[in-house]
Amino acid sequence: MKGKYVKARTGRERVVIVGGSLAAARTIQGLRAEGYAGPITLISDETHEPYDRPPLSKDILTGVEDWSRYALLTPEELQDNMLELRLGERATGLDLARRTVYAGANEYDFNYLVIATGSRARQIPNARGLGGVYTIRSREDSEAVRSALRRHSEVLVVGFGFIGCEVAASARRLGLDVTVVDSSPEPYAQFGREFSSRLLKIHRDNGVRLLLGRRVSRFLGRGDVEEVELDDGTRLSVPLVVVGVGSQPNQEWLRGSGLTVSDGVETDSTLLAAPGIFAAGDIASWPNQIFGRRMRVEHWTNASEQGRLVARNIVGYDQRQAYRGIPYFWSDQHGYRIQFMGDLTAFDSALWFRKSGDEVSAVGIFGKSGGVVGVAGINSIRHVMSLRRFIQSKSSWYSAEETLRGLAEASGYAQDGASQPASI
Amino acid sequence: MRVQVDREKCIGNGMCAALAPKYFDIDNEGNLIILSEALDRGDEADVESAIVSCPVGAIRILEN
Repeated sequence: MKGKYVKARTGRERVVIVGGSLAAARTIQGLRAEGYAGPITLISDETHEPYDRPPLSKDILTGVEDWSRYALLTPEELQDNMLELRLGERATGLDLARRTVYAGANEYDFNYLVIATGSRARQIPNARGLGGVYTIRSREDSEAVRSALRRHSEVLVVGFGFIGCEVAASARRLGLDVTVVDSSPEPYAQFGREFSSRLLKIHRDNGVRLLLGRRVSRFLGRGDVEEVELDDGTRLSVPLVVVGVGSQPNQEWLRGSGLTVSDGVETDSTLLAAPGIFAAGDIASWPNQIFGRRMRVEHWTNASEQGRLVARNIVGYDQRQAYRGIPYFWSDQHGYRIQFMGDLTAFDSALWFRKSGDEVSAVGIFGKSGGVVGVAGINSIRHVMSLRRFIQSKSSWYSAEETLRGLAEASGYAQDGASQPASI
Repeated sequence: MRVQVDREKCIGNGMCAALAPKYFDIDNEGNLIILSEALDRGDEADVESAIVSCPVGAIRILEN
């Protein structure tokens, strides 16, 4: 998409960033690194300066509650006198023609706009109003759960996604009795038994009780939750529930703006949604040339890299670069490092190697139409990182397999199961 | 210019090893090995990618 930016009515150049988390922080850091010294306004509905979210389900729950450790911008970066933080303000609308963001009664004119409003945790409607039922997305959520985990001796986790997994692991580390409920009878089976069986084993070996293929039908209690009823009639007596059932993009404020918003804000390959308007992070839907499809990725690395690239694309607007990110995320559970790299939504082959004498450590590659689309691993950090280049370069499956065999032989890994076609 | 890692912050994520393999290596358990502290001219982009990709912001480039 071509487009020259238009100077705002005030005549002064300004970058406005809506959103106050990782993508926003990286945009600010990137703009200054690229030499942009002009005004930047950040509008965020949170009351804190940008902070990091991965610790919310891990270190904050189990360790020392030191929020300064998780600040995304240093005191020096915040002391920027051309940086204005409008915290506790929620954006309510965007006027493309006037190049203005509305936040309640306030209006912010921009030359460049960065939409980085991220995503929020899905709520379970029938728990509304009951105390003791939490999602974890914000600092406030994490503080509340941290405190609750120290007041109670048992917790029910709803959802065996990575938030649920991490909360379960954190709660076990604190010595609580932990039950996890998930509607899938075989969570993560889509990545192959080699992965799903290991993940279930990690949790069961660490004392997590898994109730799979079941849903919560009712929350019961007066004021605070006391019992949870499942769809098979099971009743669990629990004083504390943490819900991790997915997330959704914070895009409602853009309704009627004229931008294409369906599953996130649609951009071109350079993260441009409209002339002078970019999107970055969880909310950005962009055509990823590496995988030949549009995607929206809610991982940390994506927000970090996209925020940085948007800054470069603002300063070098006429030479914008495409974002060619390889989706990646990691999760720490019961002392194990789980990693996923690439696009694992569709693959036709998978090959796993496991560490000999170790029931859990393993690494796998995923292929599609003769090329490599993904890598996954448990406690196999070096192998996972060594195999990343095969995704990027669209190398043949055969060359990746050869490399993996070599890595395996040199490190005491043996092939796990047969290389079977996987179905999605 | 040199590359510095805050060892206390490092969680052994390892993306630095994928993006700037001349400077960083990692083992399967997540122990980081710094291969070279001196930053050679031309390598700035790779190390900057590593800095952006580090989930705990443990990597910095410093003047000598």
